[in-house]
Amino acid sequence: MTVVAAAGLTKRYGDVTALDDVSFTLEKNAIYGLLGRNGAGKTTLMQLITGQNSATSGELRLFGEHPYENERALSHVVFVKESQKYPSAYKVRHVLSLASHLFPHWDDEFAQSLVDDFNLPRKRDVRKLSRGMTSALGVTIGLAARAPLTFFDEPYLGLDAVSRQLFYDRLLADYAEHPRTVVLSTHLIDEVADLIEHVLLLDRGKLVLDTPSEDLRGEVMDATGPAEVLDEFATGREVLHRERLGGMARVTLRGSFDNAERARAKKLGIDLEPVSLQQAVVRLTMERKTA
Amino acid sequence: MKRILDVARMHTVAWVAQIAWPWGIMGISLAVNILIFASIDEASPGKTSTGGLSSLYIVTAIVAAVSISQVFPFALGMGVTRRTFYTATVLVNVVQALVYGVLLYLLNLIEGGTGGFGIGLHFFRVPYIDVSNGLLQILVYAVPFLFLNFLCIFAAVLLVRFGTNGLYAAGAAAILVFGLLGALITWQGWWGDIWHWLSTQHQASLLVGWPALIAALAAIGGMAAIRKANA
Repeated sequence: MTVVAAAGLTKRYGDVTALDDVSFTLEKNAIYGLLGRNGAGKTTLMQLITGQNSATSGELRLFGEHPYENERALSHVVFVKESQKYPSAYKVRHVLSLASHLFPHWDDEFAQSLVDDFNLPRKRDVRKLSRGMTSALGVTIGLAARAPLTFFDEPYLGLDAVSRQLFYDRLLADYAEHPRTVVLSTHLIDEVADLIEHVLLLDRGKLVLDTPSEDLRGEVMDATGPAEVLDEFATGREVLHRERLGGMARVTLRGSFDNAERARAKKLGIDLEPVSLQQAVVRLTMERKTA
Repeated sequence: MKRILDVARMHTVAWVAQIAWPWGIMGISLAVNILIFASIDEASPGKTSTGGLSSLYIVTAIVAAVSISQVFPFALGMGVTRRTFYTATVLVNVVQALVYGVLLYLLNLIEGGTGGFGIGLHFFRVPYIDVSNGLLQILVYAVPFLFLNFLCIFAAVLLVRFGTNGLYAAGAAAILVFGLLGALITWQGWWGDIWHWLSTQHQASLLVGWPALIAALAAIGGMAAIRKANA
């Protein structure tokens, strides 16, 4: 089932095009990685889907409906963003109490266990929380809301490594018990690489990649070997990056690598190695910049 | 309706800051006034009124403005629609004005019954707005809350929607419009007619009817402006 469908989605702020003709779908019960550099349009895209802003042009459907001002559709969405502002009068327990009433699938027991895990002080003013603790509060809301569509926009700014691991573990465990559609937007790609089932890569407002992460892993390879044979091997493939050191070279290639191709590489003395998701994203984004 | 009440809780959940403080400040003002007037021996009858009650209205209006500038972005982040948020905000402000009106009326009765807290103080029985009819008195206390709160809410919505420049531009436009209007009235010599019109207005129209109408217009303006506001 399709949770979100976007077609030709475009958002302009004055003469800045934040999103440029973006089309994709988000399916039920999957974890998506929404990746891209700063200013690539990730947050704008999530704001459009969650009805916090309206598109300049294009079609957008959330649970089959228009998201803007749509109470029914929006009550099934939670959007945890790094920049979330809280009223200065609120304490942590106020925020949790309000969230428990506003999200129909809220699990209070789960929320309380997360608060304990993250050592969140319930009686402290939200504005007096540290950067990391504010993030932990956002993560708690995002997980305990159990919304069928859950967005995490850089949810763990300032969170220490232990807390981040806690977040990943709790997310995976809860996802297994209560499957839903999760969109993770982050710069710490390697950390979430194992979680992400599908990659959406934005670059300067354009969607440059929309592919299952398994496919991407087999698609982008580092090939190391003698420079001349490497050039021959690279023909017919997209070269994302090239490094040369004396007679040896390393190129990052994008294409299909079946067993015959792998055998051929081996015979040519070329070492084929899959690159990490983070490296693939970096290469794909940099290549567009130089192109 | 349940959703609206859940959202309305956003304005009351931190009740110490959102509700108790305005009353606390007024209470302190009352205590200070009692002390001052008790220590003045020659306080002549009729001169023992104070403007201390205005503190309650001012602080309440500030809370209302903050409810837009701070609570609205939070509400949007929690998946609340602008329409629901604003409806809940109007509901909270109207109920609050009526409840505060009743409470002030009770305090008015207490003040009257105790001879102005034993020292002839007129803190709640403010001259001119002290009317004889109980129901009207409640409305006379309640409507200024609506008037101030909805004007402040409207200004805060302009701030959220159009930013600081937008708010200043609206303020400048208002000064210009009212300034030109004042100049026009002076030029045409209409002030006498206006004073005459005001003085012939019924007390209920002047203290309740007209301010309530302006409050309603501000509330509608806020509704229109918030529909396209983003956090």
